[in-house]
Amino acid sequence: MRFLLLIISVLILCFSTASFAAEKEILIGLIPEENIFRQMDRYKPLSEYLTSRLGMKTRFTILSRYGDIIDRFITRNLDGAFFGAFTSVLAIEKLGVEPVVRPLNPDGTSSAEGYIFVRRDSNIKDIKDMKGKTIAFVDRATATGYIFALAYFKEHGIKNPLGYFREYYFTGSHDSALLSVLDGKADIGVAKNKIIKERFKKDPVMEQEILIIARSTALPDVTLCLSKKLDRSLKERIKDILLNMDKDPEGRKVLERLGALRFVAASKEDFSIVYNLLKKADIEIKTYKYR
Amino acid sequence: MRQFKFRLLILLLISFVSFIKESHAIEKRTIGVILPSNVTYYEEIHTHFLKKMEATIVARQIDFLIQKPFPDPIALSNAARKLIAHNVDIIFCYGTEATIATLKERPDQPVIYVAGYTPALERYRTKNSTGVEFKTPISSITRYLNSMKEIKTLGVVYNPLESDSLYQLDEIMRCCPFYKMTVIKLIIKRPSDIRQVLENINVDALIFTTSSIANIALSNFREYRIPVASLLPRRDAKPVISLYPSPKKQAEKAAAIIQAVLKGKKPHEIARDSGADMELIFNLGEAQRMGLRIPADLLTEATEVIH
Amino acid sequence: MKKRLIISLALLFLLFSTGVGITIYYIYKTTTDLETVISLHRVEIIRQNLVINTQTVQTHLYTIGTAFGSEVDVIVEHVSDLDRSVQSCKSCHHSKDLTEKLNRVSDMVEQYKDALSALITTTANRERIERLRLVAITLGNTLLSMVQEMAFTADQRLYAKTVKALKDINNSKIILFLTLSSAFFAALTVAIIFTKQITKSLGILINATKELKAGKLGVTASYSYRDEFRDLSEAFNDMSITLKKNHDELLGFTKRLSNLYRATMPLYSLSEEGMPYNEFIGVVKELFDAADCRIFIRDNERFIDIAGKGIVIPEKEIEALYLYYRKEPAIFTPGSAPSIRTSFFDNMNEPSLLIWIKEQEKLSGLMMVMNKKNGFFDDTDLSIAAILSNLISVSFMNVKLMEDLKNRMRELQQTQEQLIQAAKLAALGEMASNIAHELNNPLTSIIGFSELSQEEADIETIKKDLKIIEQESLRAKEIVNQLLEFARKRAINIAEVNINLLLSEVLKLASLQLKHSNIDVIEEYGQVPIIQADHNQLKQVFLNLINNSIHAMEKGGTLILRTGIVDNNNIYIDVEDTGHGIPPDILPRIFEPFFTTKKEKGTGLGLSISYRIIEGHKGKIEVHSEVNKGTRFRIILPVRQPSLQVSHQQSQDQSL
Repeated sequence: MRFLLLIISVLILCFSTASFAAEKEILIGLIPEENIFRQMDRYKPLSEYLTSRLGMKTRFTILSRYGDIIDRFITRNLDGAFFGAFTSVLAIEKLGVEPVVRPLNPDGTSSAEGYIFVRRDSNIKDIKDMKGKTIAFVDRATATGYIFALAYFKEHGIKNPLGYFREYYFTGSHDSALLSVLDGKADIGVAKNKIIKERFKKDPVMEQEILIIARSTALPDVTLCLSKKLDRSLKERIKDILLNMDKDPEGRKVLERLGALRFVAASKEDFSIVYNLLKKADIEIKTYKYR
Repeated sequence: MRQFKFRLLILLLISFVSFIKESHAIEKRTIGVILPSNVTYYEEIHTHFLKKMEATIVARQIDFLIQKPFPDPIALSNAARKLIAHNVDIIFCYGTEATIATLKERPDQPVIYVAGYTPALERYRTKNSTGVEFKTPISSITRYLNSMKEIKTLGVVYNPLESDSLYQLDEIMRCCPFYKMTVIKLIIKRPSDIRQVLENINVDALIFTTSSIANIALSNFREYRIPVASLLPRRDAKPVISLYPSPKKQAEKAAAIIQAVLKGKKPHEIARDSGADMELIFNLGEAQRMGLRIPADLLTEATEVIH
Repeated sequence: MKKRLIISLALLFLLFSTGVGITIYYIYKTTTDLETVISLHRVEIIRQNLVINTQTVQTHLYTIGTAFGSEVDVIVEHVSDLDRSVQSCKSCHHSKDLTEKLNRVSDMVEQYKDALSALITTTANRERIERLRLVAITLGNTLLSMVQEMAFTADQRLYAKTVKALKDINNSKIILFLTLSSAFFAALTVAIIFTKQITKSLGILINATKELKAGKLGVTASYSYRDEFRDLSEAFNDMSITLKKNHDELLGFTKRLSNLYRATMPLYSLSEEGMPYNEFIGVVKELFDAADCRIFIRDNERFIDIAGKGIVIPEKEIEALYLYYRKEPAIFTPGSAPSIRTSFFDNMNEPSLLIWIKEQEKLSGLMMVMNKKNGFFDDTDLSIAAILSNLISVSFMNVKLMEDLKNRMRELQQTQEQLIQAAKLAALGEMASNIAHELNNPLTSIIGFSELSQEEADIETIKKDLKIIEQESLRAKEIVNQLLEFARKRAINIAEVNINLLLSEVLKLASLQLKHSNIDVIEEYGQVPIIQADHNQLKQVFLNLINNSIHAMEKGGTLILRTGIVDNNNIYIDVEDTGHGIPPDILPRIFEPFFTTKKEKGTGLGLSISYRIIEGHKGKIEVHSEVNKGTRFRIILPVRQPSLQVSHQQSQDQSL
């Protein structure tokens, strides 16, 4: 009897590992940037392209911001993710991921800036006028939507930036930070220039009503970081495929769908500017509570 | 002789009692309040204000003398005149029009206002007046309306006698060309005018300005087939969008200023408070009933969604 | 008989094949209906997928954010499925109503996606996330109810289609049964018909003989089949027809005589339009049983067709024929009068009957009757023509006399109109001279006094003279003003007027004069409705009439003002006095402008202005007067002024 059980369990084990091996896939996380359905639509052709070129099933998954991104990366056993400037640094430090490539925006940049802005009719002209007002940040885990502003206020001699304001809150998205100021819910907003410019392009009235008070230096934008557990040769292949996509017509179609000119190589060194910012803001990345 | 003594005693007693009463009265400060009637928004602020004041010690030193005139210029002026005649220490005004009426009546009167409309108050600023003000971001409301439905003609309900509503009309006219809307001006001077004004009008959406008259008129507007946006709240009506300064925050800021004054600060020493405290209310039920497109912006940005 | 048998059998076969065809058609139709039912079921499956997907997402919504995991991916996946279901549905339906519904569903899916995305991506405080979750759930539920509602309509359609398919199957059964049974009955009917045919043929002939015997001449046996019975029936028919022919000839003669009498009737009924030619021609045609009849009348040296067909015959030709036939009616056959060559008659190729119209032996017209319908004109026709000729000649004379009378009447009328015109001019002249006279009086004074004052040295006298000049100028001005007033048509300013109040108002104005002239006033006001009128104009009228009355009672008297109702739409106002009255000879002239009996006191315009005002109100003014007894003016006014706006002066104030 026991013997029979053993045989059965061995058989089951064999089957499951066999099927597991056959279904091994690459799972890459996406930090939400816009309407996630649209975002998934944009990335879908890329997953198909990678699947066909790699000969391995490649899938994207939305990496919701709930909870701990780092924990989520581990529990979902991700092979990599498209991170923002701050989350990249966080993942590099905590997970040892490696920045590989980043998409080049249609305007030829692959970086983003953070803006501090107010309503033009608000009587706020500089940092002095901001005292006792309400400020809207994006998220604790964004460089352009929070960290840079913190560094900016400290640089201008405000020791406890959050106490400088009557009220501060996090909107959860760059759009929302902009709209909070436009709608008069907050006096001051902090957000990423890319999103702001897109909005301005669609609605020129917004541009007329917003006064930009400060800008950050250029920070690296969305970057694909791959897990250190991933096989080195596989990593190289992925990098290679992505960097050379613009050279074949099918790849160009996928890039166009993605809204990128092509992919460019990324490295840890690109993020020194973010480390710099963290230092100015007195943030110790290993212990930083971004939740 | 005994009778005389008795009389003297009574006399002394009476004078003593009256003295105590009088000395007690001297300690108290009188605040005249002009609270335009029928505008639920002001009543809401007032409720919050009283709650906030009750929680403080200074509240015991205050007598409130409340006037509730109908929000038209003559009634407001009369209310201001009455309070001035009562020789109140401060006049606390709700809304732009009450403030302007009081300052016109007596420019050196110490006035503290709440829910004042910044551009409209600019011309009437005096040394002895300060308060809580706001400026509605007009473009937001037109943008949201436009994102729900293609709007070609936008009706603006305003009262030319209320300067805040005139400023808002101007602002709407300024931003509408960008959204390719045509503004149709709908003047109402009495709340009952609204029915007549809207009788032969064909507009895609309506904006009710912060005019008290428009706000009262809005309460007649329970079931309507076009989207209505309001720049003041009106719970008994069902505007699809309302955008207005938070009554709670307005009340808190006003209470803070009044307390500072009671503690001995002069109005000119206290800065006007025009910080952002807007609330955006979206009526999802109404929007669905009208079959409007529900923009994601509104859902995420709304401070409250009514189902 | 044989042929008919074959045809009947062929028809029977045709009936059979039609039945089979219809049955096949029904079977085909039923199959297509069943296919539709199947495809509808397929759609229903898609819709159910939609519902399941939405429900799954809704379920996830309650759990999202509570734990880590793949729920976001699941949601995204399900929503994508949802989207696909909607798109696949949209790609096949085409009814307008349904497309619109689907568009709404797909629109709702978009909104749902937006809300979900917002919920999933937002990291703000719990309160806000809860709010977003609630919104997403609400939208999801709306989507669900929309899809469920569609399910209901789809179900209904499915049911209807199924019922229809079953019905069609049933129908095809019935048709098959009907075809078979009707073929059987058709065969039976054919057999019966053939048996009946033979008995019927004999019956027809027997019946015809019976009818002939009963005196119905010309009866024929209507036997249309080509068989043995036909010869017999034809012999019978010949006999019957001959009998009828003789009988008819007799009747024809009698009819002609009565027609002659009828033909002469129109000739006596001369009206203002002249001869009733058309009626006459019609009867003549009937009389001679002819297709055509024409009447030619002499006009200068030609004869003209009165029917206006533009046919003209030279006088010479007809005169020649007239003499040729010795002034007697004749039958003209082409070529029958070889000695006479005429362009008109030579071209005729049908015989015609010539009937002469004479005016005391002088030829004045010709009537031609042509194209006799059956046969030729004969002596009977000629004798009737002779009678007719005399009668026409007499009636033609009558026509001429009638026309003469009409001409005389017309001349008389013209003369009368000229006389009236002359009278009008005279009246105008008189009016002008009246105006001139009126103006002349003050002007003479003005000229006189201005000449005097030129020679005067005393300044006081000059002042006095100037005063007189001023007065006289004012009087002239007054005359001119009144004249203008009369000439001007004032716009009527209609409002609601209480006539009794108005009268007392006017009395107040005149009270001083009335007292001064020692006149008693009696007011007899009835219950009259408020009328629509021009207040001021009516006031002027009443003031005028009362003034006239005062002048008529210089030695005192009584003035009676009376109001009352004429009928539902009109009221009357009487102004009556006991004054000297108006002499009957001037009574008709009192409403003329500048007619006055008051010498210096009046301008003669008051009554004529009043008259125009009342006329302007669509009312009437009547006068009744007896010398030395008094005068009564009665004004009748309509209560409503048609097509005129009444100005309201109600206050528009409304309390809040």
